[in-house]
Amino acid sequence: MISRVGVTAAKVIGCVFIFALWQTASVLLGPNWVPGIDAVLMRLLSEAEKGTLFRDIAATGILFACGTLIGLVLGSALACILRLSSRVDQMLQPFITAVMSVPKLGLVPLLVLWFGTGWLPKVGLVSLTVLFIVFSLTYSGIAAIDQRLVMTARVLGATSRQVTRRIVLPSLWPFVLTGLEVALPWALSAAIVAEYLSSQLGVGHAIEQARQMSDAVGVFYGIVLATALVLICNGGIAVLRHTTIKGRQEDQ
Amino acid sequence: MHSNDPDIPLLHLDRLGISYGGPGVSERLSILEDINLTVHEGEFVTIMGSSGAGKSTLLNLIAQTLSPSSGRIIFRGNVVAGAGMPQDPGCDRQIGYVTQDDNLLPWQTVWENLLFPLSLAGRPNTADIDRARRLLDQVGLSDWGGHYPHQLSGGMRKRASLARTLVYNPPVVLMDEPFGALDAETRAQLQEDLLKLWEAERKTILFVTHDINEAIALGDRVIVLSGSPGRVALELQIDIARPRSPELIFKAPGFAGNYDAIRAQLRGEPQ
Repeated sequence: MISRVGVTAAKVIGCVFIFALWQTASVLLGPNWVPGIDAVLMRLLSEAEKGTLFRDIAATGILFACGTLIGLVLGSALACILRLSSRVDQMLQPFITAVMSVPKLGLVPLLVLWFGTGWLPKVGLVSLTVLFIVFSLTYSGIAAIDQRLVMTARVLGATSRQVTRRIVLPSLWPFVLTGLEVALPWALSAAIVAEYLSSQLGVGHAIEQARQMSDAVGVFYGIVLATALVLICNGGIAVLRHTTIKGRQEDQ
Repeated sequence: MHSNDPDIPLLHLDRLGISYGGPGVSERLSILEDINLTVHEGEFVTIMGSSGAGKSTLLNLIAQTLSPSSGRIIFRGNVVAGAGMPQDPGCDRQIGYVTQDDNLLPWQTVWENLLFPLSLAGRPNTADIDRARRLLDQVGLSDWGGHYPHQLSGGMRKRASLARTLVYNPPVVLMDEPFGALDAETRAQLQEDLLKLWEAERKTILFVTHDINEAIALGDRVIVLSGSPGRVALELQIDIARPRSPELIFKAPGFAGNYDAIRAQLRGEPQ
C-alpha cells in the first residue's frame, strides 16, 4: 500500500518528468517542431482573453456530451434488449460483432455522404463510437449480475420491478461507468476528427486551422485543450463513481 | 391462509419429487423422489444426508426457488406449490431462507441490508425499525450497522444474513448449512444464539447440516435423506431436554444412541 502522500508525490514527479521531456524536445528539435511549454501557455492565455478558448471548449464539449449521451442510452438499451431475448441475441450478435470491428473513424466519408457536413454526422460519429463500447461493457455486465442476489430478493418478496431497481441497476452501474471511462477518449477523438472535416468552431477546428497555417503552437494548444477535456471528464466520472458506488461490488 | 388450527400441520410435503433433463423417462435424472414430511408449528427440524442426496434441493423446493416435478407442498392447509404450478419464491414472505452464501447486497451497509426486506413492502414503520434494531443487537452486530458486508468476517455476515431473514418475521425459516464454513468456536456461539432466537421468536426451522453433532444439538427431529434419487431414509425424534448446550451436546444422555443411528444411516449400514 502506498500512502496518499506517496501517490501525490508520484503524480507530481510524473508531471515534472513529462514537462522536462517536452521542454528538452523543444530545445533539441526547435520550436517549429515542438514549441515550448511557455509558448503554448501564452497561447492558452491569449485565447482565453479573446474568448475563443471557451467557445472552442463549449462547441466541442456540447458535441462530445450529446454524442456520449446518445451512445450511452442506445448502447445500454441494445445490451438489455439482446439479453432479454436470446432469439434476438442469436440473430443480431454476429452482425453486432462485425459492425463493432469496423473502425468508426473509417465511417466518416459515409456519414458525410448520408448526412452532409452539418451537426448530424458529427454527433452520429461520436454516438457510434460510444455506443459499441458501452454496449459491450453493459452486455457483459448483465451476465455478471449475481443470480443469487436476484433469487434472494425474490424470496424476500421483491417484485420484478423491485428486482430491476434494487438489484439489477445497482449491479450494472459500475459496468456502465467503466464503459464511459473507456469510451471517453475515443468519443473525444471522434468529436475532434469530426471537427477537422467541417466546423467553424471547436477544438478540432482550432487544431486544423493552426495546421493549415503551419502554426505549431496552435496545434499544441489544441492538443493540450483536448487532453484537459478528457482529464476533466475522467475526474468527473471518478467523483461519480466515488459518490454513487458504495461498499464493494464483487467484480471490482 | 393464516389459520392456526393445531390439527393442520404448518408445512406438509406430499410425495414431493424433482428431476432434471429431457422429456423421456430414461433421459431424466431424478434428484428427489417421493418425499413425505410433516412439520409442525414451532418445530426445529434438522436435515442430513450424504453429499448429493438433495438436501439443498429440498430447501430450494420449499423456498420455491425451484419447481417440483411431482407432488405438492401444503402450507397451513393450502397447496402453495406443485408440479406445473407457478413459482412463488418465499411463498409470499411466509418462508425465509438463509442460504449457504450470505447473499448480502454488497453495495448496502449491514443496517440497509437489514431494512431491505422491510423496504420491499413499503416504508418501514417505527415498530419495524425497532424490531430491526433489536435483532441487530441480538445477533451481536449493533456496532457494525454502518459497515459494508466486505468489512465483516464470515461469521458476522452469517449473523447479518440471519437477522435479515428474521426481520420480516416469516413463520418458517430454512437454513442451508449456515455455519458450515465457520471455525468451531464461532459456530458453537452461533448455534447457541440461534437456539435462543428460535425460542424467543417461536419460529419453525428447517436446518440442513452435514454435522451429526449439530443436527442432534439443534433439532427436535433429525431427517436423513439418502439414496439416488434421495428419499427420507430416517426420521429420528431427539428427546434430549432443552435448553441444550450445543458445545457439550455429546455429554447429554441419549446422545450416543442418536449419533450411532444417524451415522449408520449416513454410511448406508442398515440396522
